[in-house]
Amino acid sequence: MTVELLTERARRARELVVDMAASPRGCHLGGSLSVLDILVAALHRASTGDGTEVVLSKGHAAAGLYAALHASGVIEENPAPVYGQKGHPYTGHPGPKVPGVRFPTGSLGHGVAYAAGWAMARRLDGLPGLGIAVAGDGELQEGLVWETCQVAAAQGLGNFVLVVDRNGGQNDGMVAEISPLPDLGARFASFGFEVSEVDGHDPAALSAVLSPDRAGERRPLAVIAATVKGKGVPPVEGKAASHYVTIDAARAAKWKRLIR
Amino acid sequence: MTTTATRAMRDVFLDTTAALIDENPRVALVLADISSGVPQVVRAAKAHPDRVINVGIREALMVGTGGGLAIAGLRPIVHSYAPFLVERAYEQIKLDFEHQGVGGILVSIGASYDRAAAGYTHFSPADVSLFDNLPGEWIVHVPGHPGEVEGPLREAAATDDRVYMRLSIAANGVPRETGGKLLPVKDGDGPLVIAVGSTLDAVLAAAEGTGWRVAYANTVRPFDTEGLRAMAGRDVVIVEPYHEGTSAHVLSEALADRPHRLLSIGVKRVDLHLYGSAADHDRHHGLDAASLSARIGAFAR
Repeated sequence: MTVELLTERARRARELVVDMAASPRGCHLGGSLSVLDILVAALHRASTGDGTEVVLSKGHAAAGLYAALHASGVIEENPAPVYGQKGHPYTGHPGPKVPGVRFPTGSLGHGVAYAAGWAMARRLDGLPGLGIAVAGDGELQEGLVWETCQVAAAQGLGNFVLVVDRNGGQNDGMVAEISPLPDLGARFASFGFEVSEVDGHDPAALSAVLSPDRAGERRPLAVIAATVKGKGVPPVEGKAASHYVTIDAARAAKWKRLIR
Repeated sequence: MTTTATRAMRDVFLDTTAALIDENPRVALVLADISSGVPQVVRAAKAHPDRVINVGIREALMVGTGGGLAIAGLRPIVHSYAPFLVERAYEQIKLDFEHQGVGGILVSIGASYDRAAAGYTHFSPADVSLFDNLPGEWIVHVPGHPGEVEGPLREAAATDDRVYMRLSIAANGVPRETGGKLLPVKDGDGPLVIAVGSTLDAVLAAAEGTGWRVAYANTVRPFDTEGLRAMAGRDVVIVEPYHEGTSAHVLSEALADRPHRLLSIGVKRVDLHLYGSAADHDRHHGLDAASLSARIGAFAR
């Protein structure tokens, strides 16, 4: 039942992301589509109401976040028609005026630290709930990410979860060419993390890894989610050029019919 | 501010930088991913892989690396989006260039809110005032047209100065050669209105039919205080495309020995949480022609 629900939400969210690519200024399409299933699963986890906070640290995937928030029922209004428009909070990088968004992101690395701070606060207050940061694999180049990981491990922050949207791309090229990440799981493990490697487009796998309340855990969790840029929209799926896309309404309609 | 040029400042900057890397073995370009994939940079990196350095998405490292190159005798050009270059790596600017006493050329894009719809993380109206907070001398260029980029960049590459060049999508209709001085653009018998960078066209539109004198500046540090003293009467207005009042201390000091009134207009120190376009933000901050007409007109009465 959960898998069907998440699958349907992700399908609806993909339509909205394509609509936002058809806004006057377009959107970061490839990364929004790669991270979508992760966001839908993480928001579902947060909807349990135990105080779990989801922080999209790769803020350039804002279109994916807004779509996932709407498909998950957190944002009531459809953000796509007003994406990037004056007087509306749905900017290319999310700010704190967006319903369901506490932390502004878009300067990479910040959201990982925010989520760790959230997890520390829950623990300090003796409360349940996870701090879930969703970061890009290119974002792992930021030193702040690894500073956070060291502190999270040193403090035994078992309620901190870092999900890596491993789509292999970044703004101006491929991660493997600019700053490769061999043995990523081993890297996190060497920092003291529990590591889980999953298919980032498998709602069942994502739901399973994010569901536990992690009460009593002393190791933070790194979830390395293998994803595909542009996932679910065949004309851009797997293409580096999908990083930032602006299309017209006719093309958006055509692409939405192709969503899988 | 208008956007009319067919070739943007960033394009001219990257073209010129690629040429400088070819021409001058001291010149090195340091990037944090942004702009590393554009064709002229890819070509330069292929020809000179040791002097086109993409450190990945690591802004502090980018500026620190530039400082290291400079202290070893190279001439680094360090480039990224303005908030990531100036705000995020400010400590590296302060220590690795300023405190070490070495020079470099820092070049930003994005300006105060070029990509307003991208959100607040991509705004940088504080950048020029941050350079003012450093005790040493920085040369600060604020081009108002893509045609005003190559000359100062080539000049900077031939020196060991500390230079900040603030590029923007916003541009005036035509380029102007200033030689770093205050350039008279319109004569009159009213207040002297100094337009910085891309604010000039809006200032000229607002000044139409008035007695305001208009002067143009695209190099704001050091500010041409000699030219200011020669042109200024009692009333002086400065319109800047970054934080309002950024240059007030410079103008006040230059005119301290004579009675004067100063009006500073620029980006207000507020987080509007309001996005839309750069033109929307110009209106909100009073930098469009109609707002300038009203505010300067009231000051001049």
